[in-house]
Amino acid sequence: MSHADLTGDEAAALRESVQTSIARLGDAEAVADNIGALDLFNEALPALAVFFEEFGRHHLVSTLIDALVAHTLGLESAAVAYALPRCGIADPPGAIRGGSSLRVDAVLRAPGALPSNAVVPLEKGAVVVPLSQLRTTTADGFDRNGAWRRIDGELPEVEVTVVDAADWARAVALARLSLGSEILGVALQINAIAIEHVTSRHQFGKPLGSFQTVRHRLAEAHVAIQAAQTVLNLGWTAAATSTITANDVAVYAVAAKAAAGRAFESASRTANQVCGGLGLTAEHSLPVLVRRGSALNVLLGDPTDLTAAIGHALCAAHPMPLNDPLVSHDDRVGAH
Amino acid sequence: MGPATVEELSVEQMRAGFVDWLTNEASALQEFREERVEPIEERWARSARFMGMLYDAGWNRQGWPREVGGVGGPAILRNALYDELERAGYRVPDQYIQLEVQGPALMKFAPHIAAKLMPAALRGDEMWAQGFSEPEAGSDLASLRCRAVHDGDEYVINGQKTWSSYAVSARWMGVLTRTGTPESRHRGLTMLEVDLQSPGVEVRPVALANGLNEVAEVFFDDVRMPAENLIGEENGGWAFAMYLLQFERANYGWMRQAHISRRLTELASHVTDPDRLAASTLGGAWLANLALRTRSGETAQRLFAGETIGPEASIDKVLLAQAEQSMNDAYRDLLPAEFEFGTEKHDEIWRSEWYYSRAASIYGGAGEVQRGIIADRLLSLPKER
Repeated sequence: MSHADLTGDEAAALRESVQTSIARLGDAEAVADNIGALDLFNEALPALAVFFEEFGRHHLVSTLIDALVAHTLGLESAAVAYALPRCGIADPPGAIRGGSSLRVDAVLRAPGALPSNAVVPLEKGAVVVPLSQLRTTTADGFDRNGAWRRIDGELPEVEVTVVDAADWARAVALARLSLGSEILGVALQINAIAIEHVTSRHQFGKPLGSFQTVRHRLAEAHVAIQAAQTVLNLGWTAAATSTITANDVAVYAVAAKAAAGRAFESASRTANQVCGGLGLTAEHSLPVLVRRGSALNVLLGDPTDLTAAIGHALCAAHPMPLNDPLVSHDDRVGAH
Repeated sequence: MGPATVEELSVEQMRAGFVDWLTNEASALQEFREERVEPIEERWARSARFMGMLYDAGWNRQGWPREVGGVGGPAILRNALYDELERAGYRVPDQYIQLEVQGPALMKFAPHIAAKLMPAALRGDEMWAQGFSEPEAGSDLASLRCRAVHDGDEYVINGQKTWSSYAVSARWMGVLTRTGTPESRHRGLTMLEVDLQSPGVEVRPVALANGLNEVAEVFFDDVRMPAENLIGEENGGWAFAMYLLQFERANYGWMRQAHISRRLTELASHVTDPDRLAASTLGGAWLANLALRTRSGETAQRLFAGETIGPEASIDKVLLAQAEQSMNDAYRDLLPAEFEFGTEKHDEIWRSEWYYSRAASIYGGAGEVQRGIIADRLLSLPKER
């Protein structure tokens, strides 16, 4: 397996084993352990996309993103504290108060026991804080099965450790790619459910899926999903290619998560319409996915925040990456 | 100075060498960097001169086989040329669009015609057009009626084409004709290369909303073409059209992303301190073009490696329309005073481009047709009936 990329065959084989493992174990943490996802952090970063997509499809909660971020920061383990999103305002989850204490208000995902530490983003950079010093409450809101916890409180600055700024920037990029792939998996599954529904259900004596409006909406969701897949592949490959700058990786990751979020929005809006009343029932397979995708979509920037960040960079004449898709991955310098 | 050993050129070397050449020749090339408010025929005459210079220096012969006037090397080098042209501020000559759309199909289905016509086209001496759409046969292409009858060693053509891009200035037109019965649909179609200077051909320009004679109606009244102008097999025109449409739907997207990228950079330079919505509009357009650039570049590689793209090219085509239209809408929405009421030259160029971008979801198979193809062939949804 090359560092930068996965061949189609390799990805298909990995996907099959992840799916088999999910069917057998039914638990994301066990699946990640079983297939050795953590070994991929150094060996084959883009292979992680397969895990996140499959976890998204099966709405499984994992701590794989937290492990990836901790690994990138050189930490044993830590949970990622995500900002509580507010429309248009990227409030950092942590804020230094008066130079002596740190105020924290954030959410994290904890399907099992809480780790001892959390990585808390500040306006610039991030710090590691001991979770024992903070109040932890459940935060199962819209996404009821997401293992969300809210952490809040204030702690003395002496108890926090500042993480390396460059490492943190890379960790954020990798977390955005991971969330993007998980969201993509959710969108793929939502579109698959909608396609199955309109194929098997009939009105006016013919399948719902034979009506042009329905067909075109599903086609549009498919295009959004394919576009997101393309940008996610670009981002993961860039993150695994040593010659690509940190700035470029960061921009691709922002773009990839925005694209995945847009694909989710398109797929879920479409599915909620074409599946009709059935798709709104508690027993239908859609709601759990719609809820999961919605929550993931606002972490580390919703699609509007992320595209706005790109727009601000463009207006400030910030250097933007220019990928060369005319060069096959195998020919790229530093790709192996 | 042109490259010496083209066959060994990599994409990176091609890019670097070409950028050097553009930099060195910048003053001689000044007129080609200018966007002018002018009749499209004059724009084409200018870009034809530009092609002549690129031909003489060898750059636009790279990636085309020697048999058709090129100097060899991998076809993907052509895409690098278009990319670097726009990056350096040059509009890619429209002529290349027809070369890229029809060229590969001609080389495959009628190498003798490709060998005869392509050198003059690459030099910029002769333009090409394509004759597919007819009144009531646009999205429903297989119902076209323009008739060709095999008569001895000639074909006699009668009928009409419409929406033919570049036909106003073109010398040659690939025309899809009906040789079978009217009911034969896609089975009774034949592709012919028609000299538009032949007796019986009448080209009537159609002025589009932006005032440009980009397209034309073309009428054929007992137009006689030698049988050697047959492209592929008689009644085999559909295979040619489907092969060609892969390039029109996918590789053409590559040429447009280069242009969109240049225009986006220009747009961003006019916007200061945007609010969240404005910044997101701009960033969304950039993202749409990133998806188009990445996907169409990968598709071009697959096409040139001989892979059949088939229905997946419809995704590229939808992405193209989204990128074109979101960028041009972003300009209109972010600079409304200039767009609606500006009297500068560049204001009119933006307005003209905005209107042209509306066609991106119509030409080469309307957005509705692409969505139908995606629904049928990629999602296997129940057929419309």
